[in-house]
Amino acid sequence: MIKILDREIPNLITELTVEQFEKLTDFNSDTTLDPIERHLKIFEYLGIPENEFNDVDVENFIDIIRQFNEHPNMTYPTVDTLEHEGYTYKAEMKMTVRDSKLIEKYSIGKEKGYISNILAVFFKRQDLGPVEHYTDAHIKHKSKFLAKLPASICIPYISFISEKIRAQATPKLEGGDTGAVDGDSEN
Amino acid sequence: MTLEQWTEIAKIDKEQGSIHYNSEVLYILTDVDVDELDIEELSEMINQCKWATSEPSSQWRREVEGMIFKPLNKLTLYEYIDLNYFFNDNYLINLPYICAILYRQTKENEWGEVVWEPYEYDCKIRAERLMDVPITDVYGVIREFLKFREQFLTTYTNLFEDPLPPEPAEGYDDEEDDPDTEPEKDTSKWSWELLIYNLCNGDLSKSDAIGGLPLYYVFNMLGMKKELDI
Repeated sequence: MIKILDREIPNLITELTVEQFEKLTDFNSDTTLDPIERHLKIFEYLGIPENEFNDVDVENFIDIIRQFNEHPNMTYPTVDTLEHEGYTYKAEMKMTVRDSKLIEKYSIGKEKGYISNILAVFFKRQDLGPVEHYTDAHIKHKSKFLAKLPASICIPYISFISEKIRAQATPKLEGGDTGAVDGDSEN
Repeated sequence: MTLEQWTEIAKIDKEQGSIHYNSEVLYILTDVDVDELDIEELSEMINQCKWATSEPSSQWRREVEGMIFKPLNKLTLYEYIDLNYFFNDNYLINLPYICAILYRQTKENEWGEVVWEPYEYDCKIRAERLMDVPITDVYGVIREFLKFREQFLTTYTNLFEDPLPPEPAEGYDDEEDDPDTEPEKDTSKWSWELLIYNLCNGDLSKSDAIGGLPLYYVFNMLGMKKELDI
């Protein structure tokens, strides 16, 4: 945790929840915000209202930003088993085509809760079968409790997905192979 | 690959991502449910089917399923209107309907001339008959029609131009300010219907006869009418 203007807010992956991590990721990838605006929004989201920075001069604010973003080198061990409401959820570092399609859908849509949705694809309740694993309602249910867990849980899975996507990037059918023929014509 | 498989592939929503797209393509081509495969296995299968989404040759066959490609300069007004609609909508997805209009049954009349099947059949039913045709036999008709249409639109360009808006009365900057100028109705949505309505002078019982006239004949007449202002 870090203390800013007498308020303690989380700044490490181990301290942020999955939900907070997702929100911070969204702020960080919002290209319409400059670094100052972006951090004002991040601090406000984590509990420091924007107006509390009114009397902070720019140099001090930049120093606050630097401290907030200073993270020690950490490793994030893979958590592959979770207990929730008496049920066991297990995850494997493995992606079937069905998993990948869902993960792709959540990543493209970037709807609220997309990171916990992605995590929900990996964690499967042990007493359920493949059909139940992928129903919308069940994914939402898992996503809800996963969103409140420490963000460090999602890091190994996000790295795994990135690695897989990189490996998949070369061989693909989709895209430019069809040449100029898009099927729509103007006249 | 058949025409049916090609159009099924064309219908896949690419916005849902490449894994979705690739797995759908494989499902259409192989009928294998790839959902439970590992992502690496999908990759291997994709590599083997790369040819599937490359653009087919622009060659096409004059005869398929016992039907003959109707020369485009022999199209009737109704045939052209429907083809134009299918092309504007999405010519990849609509390719079976396009082929259903272009490939026709023929017979020889007593003078030994080729008589084309009238355009009175259900396009959807005819399209079903063509679904198993190899895509390479018919894909080239897309380019053929686009080339024809471009040439046709160039020939009759003056008939497709919007007429100039009426001049505003003196003292008004534009027609919107002129209280005596009727605001122009947007007729673009109904352009073909309006053309037929005008050609049959509002007597819709004549519309089928007009629609069955050769396209070039209709447009030559329209061109003459415009030039002579009659």
